[in-house]
Amino acid sequence: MAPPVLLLLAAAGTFVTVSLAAMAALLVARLFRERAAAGQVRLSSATRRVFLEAMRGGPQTQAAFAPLRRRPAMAAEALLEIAGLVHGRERERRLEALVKNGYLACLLSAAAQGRSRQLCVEAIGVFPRTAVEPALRVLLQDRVGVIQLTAAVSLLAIGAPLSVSAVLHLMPISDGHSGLMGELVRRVVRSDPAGGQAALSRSDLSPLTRALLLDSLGTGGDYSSVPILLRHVDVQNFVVRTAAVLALGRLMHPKGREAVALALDDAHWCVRAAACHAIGLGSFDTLLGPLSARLSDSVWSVRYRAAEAMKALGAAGHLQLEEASRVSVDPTVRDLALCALFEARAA
Amino acid sequence: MTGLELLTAGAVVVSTAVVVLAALQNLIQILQLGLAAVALGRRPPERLATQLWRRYSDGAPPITLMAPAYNEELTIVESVRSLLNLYYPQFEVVVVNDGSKDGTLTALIAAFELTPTRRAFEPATRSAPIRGLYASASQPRLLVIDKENGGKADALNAAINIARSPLVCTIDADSLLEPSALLRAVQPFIDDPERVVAVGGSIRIANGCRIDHGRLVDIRLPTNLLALFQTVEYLRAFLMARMASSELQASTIISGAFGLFDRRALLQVGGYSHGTVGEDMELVIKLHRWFRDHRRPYSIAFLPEPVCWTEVPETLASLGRQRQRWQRGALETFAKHADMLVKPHYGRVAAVGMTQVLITDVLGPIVELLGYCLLPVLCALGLLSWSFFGAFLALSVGFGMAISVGGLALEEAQLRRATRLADLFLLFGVSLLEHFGYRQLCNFFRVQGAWLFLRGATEWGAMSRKGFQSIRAS
Repeated sequence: MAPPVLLLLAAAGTFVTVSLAAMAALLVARLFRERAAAGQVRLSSATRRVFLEAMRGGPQTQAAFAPLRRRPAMAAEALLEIAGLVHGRERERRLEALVKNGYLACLLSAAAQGRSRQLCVEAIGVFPRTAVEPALRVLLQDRVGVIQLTAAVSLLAIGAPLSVSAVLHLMPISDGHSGLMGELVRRVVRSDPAGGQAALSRSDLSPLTRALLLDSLGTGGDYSSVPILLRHVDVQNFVVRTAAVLALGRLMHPKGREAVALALDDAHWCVRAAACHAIGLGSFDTLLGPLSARLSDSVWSVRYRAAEAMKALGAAGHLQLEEASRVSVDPTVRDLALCALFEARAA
Repeated sequence: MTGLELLTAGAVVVSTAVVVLAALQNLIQILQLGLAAVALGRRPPERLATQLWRRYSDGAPPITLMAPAYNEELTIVESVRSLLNLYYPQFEVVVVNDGSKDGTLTALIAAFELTPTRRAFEPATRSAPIRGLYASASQPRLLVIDKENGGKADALNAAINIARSPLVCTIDADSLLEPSALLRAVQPFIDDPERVVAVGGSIRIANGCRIDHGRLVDIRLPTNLLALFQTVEYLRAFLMARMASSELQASTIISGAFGLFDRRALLQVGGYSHGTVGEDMELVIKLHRWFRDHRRPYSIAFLPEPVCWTEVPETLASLGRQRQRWQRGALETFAKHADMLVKPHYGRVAAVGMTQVLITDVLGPIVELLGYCLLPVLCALGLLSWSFFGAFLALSVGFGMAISVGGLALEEAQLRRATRLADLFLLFGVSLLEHFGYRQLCNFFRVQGAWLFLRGATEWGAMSRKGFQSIRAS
């Protein structure tokens, strides 16, 4: 046979051998995996049994907790599930039993390394603050971002204070941020509005981070944030302006009304749409006149936001919408007003 | 030069081209397998749905599910029920009745007690006139659009216009999403909300599975041989090819059966294009083009874990129509965006994505057909070395077997949806068989698709479905 033919046959043989070997390996791996899965099911049942025993006030021997201590990460999921269902004194009793029998210590060491670190850090967050706060503070300095974030969430879950600057330290303030980080910032700023206000004085914040802080202050409901929000209503960046205007609407403070009214005529449509939205959120019904003028804005999103805000303003807004649906010369305005009225009545 | 010499020279040139292209295609598949293995190795093990809810539900943005339906009377109610039962914090389901000629709308009205409603929307993308909107008192998350027939792209554009969520999800009305699929698919949007514009998930085959009230209750392999061949094919396509393209940031397609998109990005590119049967592929290429033209950072990802189950053809006729349509879609998209290949600012999308389309979809079927046609010619001319031919065939089968086993290994490593050990054996056997007839058949359908493209055909071609009820009963 010619050498090229031999070469092709050798290559074909190699592929077939490799395939058969890989297939055999797959089958063996499947058998091992099935055993591991069965073990995981057994461990979850053992965790639930240990909890039920504690609930019944039965004997809690060290041996009963042994499987949990051996595989703390595998037991963590069952722990989180049960902790979500049981609250109050009952939960405390179970957690005390877990601390006393060495499970927490194993969980803390599993949170330091391995593939299930995040799960362990989450589970740590169900234990009493006194037992886990120092460990979570250490994890807050971890080199892995997701562990830092989870540690911060767990700290909030145990009721430990967390400063806005500490949270901002975790995120790339000069760039965008993940949705989860955004949620964390909102929660921290809501509980510490002064920290959020102080953070806005920093000059190194990206527009997105600044907008996130403003939005968080708006949902925080603290009127002391009004002055700093007003200062951001006429900055150059439209993302920041939009967030400031919306936050003023959410705060529902009368001092925000004038700034929101001015924003209705902003050059950027996003700010105009935010101003319409803010009027609805803040129930600024004295701005109904300028708001209805936005029903004929050149940008559809602004027109839609105006109609939605009028819908939210109750009877006065609905009256205005009815009038627009009858007398407007623009058919798209009439249609928009009719749709808003229909939705308001259906709701 | 005599005629015979000319014929001989031509045959040699063509056979060399066939061998070179086959080698290139095989090389691409080896690279894809390697890249997919690396990418999957980096991914954490598939998480439990409860874990995902705990971690992501707070930051999860609202989603509008868009399900276009054309003559789906048989499956529509169960599909919509399945969509309404998804495990996700905030979503609405917009079903678009695209001028169905059967009782699709009547079935929906009866099952969900629909009544006419109104909703303000901007016709930002082009679509056929809407005849009416319907809402359900019992299912406030459901909205049905009844519109004049305009095709799938047109129906999706109507839904994009109506949607009020920042993210929109395309789903075929005859497919079923796993309950946690949205929570899994939304992760890239939560992790990187500024850059991610589209995410695709895996498509798996529901033929043979047991489905109850819109939920998959028992995963089984199909009993039909054609559907089994497609199971192996889908494993390779989704876990290998799409995973590898995503790893290189050069995805050229997100399946129309399940894809999650940033609505703003879709509006920026004008929504789906009309007059194409490959609207899903064309949309992804359009997104690449727009973001690269405007020098905006963006990312298009593929995730293996969000799974959508769909019914595949079980007869040669409907398989043929489907493959012809896919081929026409690929060629239409390539023809429309071929200039990207020579413009350097399209980077990897052109160098990897479009080049792969060129080799696999544009040249592949035609050269493979030429190869089959050449066999009798070479034989007649006395140029065919039977030992070489035999060895080449053995290599093709051996290579195909290795790639299929690679696909199965990826499935075992990441998704693990083939629940029984016997299923693995069966899939392995099928991956051997597919080289003897099925592959050639599919190539024939693709060549037919290319011919239809050249003739300028535009119709979709109907696929007869058994419906999930029938799948369950069987």
